[in-house]
Amino acid sequence: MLTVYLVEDDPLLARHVLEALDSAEGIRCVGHADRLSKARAELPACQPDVLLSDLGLPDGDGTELIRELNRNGHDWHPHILVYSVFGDESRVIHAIESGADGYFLKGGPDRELIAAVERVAHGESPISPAIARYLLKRLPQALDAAGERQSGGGPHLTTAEHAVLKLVAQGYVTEEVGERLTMTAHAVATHIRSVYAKIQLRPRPIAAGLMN
Amino acid sequence: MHLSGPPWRWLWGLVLLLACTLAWPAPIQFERAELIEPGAPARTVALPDAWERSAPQRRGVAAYRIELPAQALQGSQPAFFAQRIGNAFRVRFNGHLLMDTGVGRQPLPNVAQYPQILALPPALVRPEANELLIEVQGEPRREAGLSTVWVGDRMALDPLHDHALNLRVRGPWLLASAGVTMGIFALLVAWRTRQALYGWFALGNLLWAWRITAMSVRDPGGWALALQFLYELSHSLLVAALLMFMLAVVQRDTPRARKVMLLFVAVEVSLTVGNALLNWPLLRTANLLLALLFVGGAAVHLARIAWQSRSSTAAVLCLAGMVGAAIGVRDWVTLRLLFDYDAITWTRYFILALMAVMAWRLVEDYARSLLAQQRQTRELQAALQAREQELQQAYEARRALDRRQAAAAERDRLLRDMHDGLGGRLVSALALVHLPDQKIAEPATLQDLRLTLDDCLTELRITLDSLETEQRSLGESLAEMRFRLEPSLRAAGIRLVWNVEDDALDTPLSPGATLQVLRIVREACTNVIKHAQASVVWLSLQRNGGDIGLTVLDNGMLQRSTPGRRAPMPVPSGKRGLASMRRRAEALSGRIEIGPHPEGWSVALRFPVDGTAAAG
Repeated sequence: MLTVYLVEDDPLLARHVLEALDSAEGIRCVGHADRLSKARAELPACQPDVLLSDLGLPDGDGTELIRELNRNGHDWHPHILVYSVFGDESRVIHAIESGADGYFLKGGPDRELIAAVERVAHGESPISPAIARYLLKRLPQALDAAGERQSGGGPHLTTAEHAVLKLVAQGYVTEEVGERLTMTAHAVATHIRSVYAKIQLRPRPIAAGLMN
Repeated sequence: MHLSGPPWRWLWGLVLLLACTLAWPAPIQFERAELIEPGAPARTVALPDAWERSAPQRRGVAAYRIELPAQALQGSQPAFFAQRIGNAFRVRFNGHLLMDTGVGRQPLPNVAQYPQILALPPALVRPEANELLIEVQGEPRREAGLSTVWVGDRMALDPLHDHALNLRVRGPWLLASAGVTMGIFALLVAWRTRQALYGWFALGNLLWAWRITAMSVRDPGGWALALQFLYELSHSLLVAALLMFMLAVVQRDTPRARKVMLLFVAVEVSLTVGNALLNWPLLRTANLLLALLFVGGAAVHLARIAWQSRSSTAAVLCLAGMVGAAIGVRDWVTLRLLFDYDAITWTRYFILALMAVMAWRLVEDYARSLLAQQRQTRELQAALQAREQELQQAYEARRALDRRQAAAAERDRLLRDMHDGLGGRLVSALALVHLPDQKIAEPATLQDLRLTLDDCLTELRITLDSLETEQRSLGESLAEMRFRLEPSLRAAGIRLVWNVEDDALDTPLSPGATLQVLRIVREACTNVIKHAQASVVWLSLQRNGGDIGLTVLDNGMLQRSTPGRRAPMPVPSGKRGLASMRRRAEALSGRIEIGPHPEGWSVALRFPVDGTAAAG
């Protein structure tokens, strides 16, 4: 059973999401908070698999919570999906740098939301063309095919990662990227996850779920 | 008579001292001779003997006999030296002819400009009663005569001869070449600058150069008298040219000055012509005196100008004029009153002073124009800077205005979009909500409501995207668009096949134009979801030269398996949607073809990249 914790201050939307998740097979909502303080208090006890969190909350920014979770020394760590209104890219990217695994746009069909939660629980990282574009600008491409790091520089993109991001930025979805680069959708997801890890302030080990 | 003046005496003193030290007997200068003329008794005359004074009308030969004392011939190389003998002469020593420069030849040559030295062969020297006979042939008006005569050792006479040669021959040639150079130089400057003063200076210099050497012609042939006439005539022109130059330098070369100068030249020319006709040396003396007075008058005039306008240039010119006049007085007294046939004119060397003035003037001119140019350059630079600053300010003001106008246009566009797009859709959603309850409950109505609200979000999103300062390529914007549409398409069971060319994706477009394209795509996709009953929709984007082609094609027709028929699009979103797509295509300066296709329904947009800058 996949456990989810929701942080969302809009009661109407929160009720709708909770209903949708609970109606899905294999997913159970273990909690809901409408403010950061409540989430901080409940999360250690709930230890959910996935944290679905809004960013703009009455007592602060969801990014703070994400960063705290990323920093703490607990032996558990949720997969984090940012739940946001038309993907305010700069905030989302900030959240990803702080440790989020991806984001989902509010207003999407319930089925898509459930699929996104499942995918993120499996260690995949949802991505959008805008984020791919940002990552392409942010990370230089490694000159050698293998090099993750070049001498004297920060993290670099491998050739495959670069190719994946480029296609995503051009509007191709994961399956199409896999077809074009002759790799599985799973491999595409791995590449994206590894790119995320490169920009995160304290990279975590690549999610165990992906290895299973 | 000696070469006059104390300096010369000192020089001679030194030469003599040197001669004594070297044990050469001192040469003897003869200041008297016995003149023997045909048809007249022999008589003693003083040397130098200028015929212009003693016999202006004499035409022919006169012999000067000099008895030489024994001590004059003591040296091992006895010789004879004279400053001037003219026009032609013969020398006989003890009856033997030693030299003949062309006596008796017609037309008569003229060697008077050249100092003469001649060895007296020791073999011809007698123990006593040695006799030197100099036969001189001259013509009226050609400055014939005989200078004092020196006899002594060659070694003692050579320095005298050399010195005379320097002053009478070499010096003048040097001056003449300098004068010609300066004259040509001034002529070129006059030609290029169109300044009269350089022209006058050029004329003066060239005349001067000619005058210095004109009389050095040994054998002028038939031109001898003409040459002499022109020589005398040119004097007034020379004086006039140089005075005009001086006046031009101080900018007083007025028409009145020219008239006075012309009058002067006219008087001088008439005197010269009078002398040529009448052979009255007095006329030439008066001629030169008049010139002298004229130069003196000019010097006084310049002094007055210098005083009045505190002009250093005028002062220098005045000084030059005074010096010229002083030298002229010396020459006039020596040559025209005393008729010293030994003497050398000093006036010819005065040109050096005028050249110095001219050089000074040129340097002054050059320095002044250089400084003026520098000042002008500085002023120009300052003006340029000021102008640049003005331009910069104007540019800034213009930019601010442009920004304000652009902002206003952007606000207008946003308002229009909000009103037509978002507002319209929200009203549609509200209309759906206001349907009777049983109608709302129908799945089709709910689906419509969901799609309409979804549309609102997409509309809001692309409007916000169009406000971003960072310019996106068409591909980036389309990719974002797909990201928004994909969930709705999937929810409707439609697979979107993304078929875009890299070339077309990288096309930069203005935000307004991008917005139009995105709205057409959104409208096409919404129509597919609402009406096509399709399972696949192909979106293709190509770039063809300067054109972008975009096609949205669905397979709704195949799905329904009823070719040629299509469900009519319900109003309002159907017809209004098509009309708005056409309007947007027009705004892109492109064309759009919307209609059935063998597979389904096709929306094909084609627009030029260049024509989209103004769109939106």
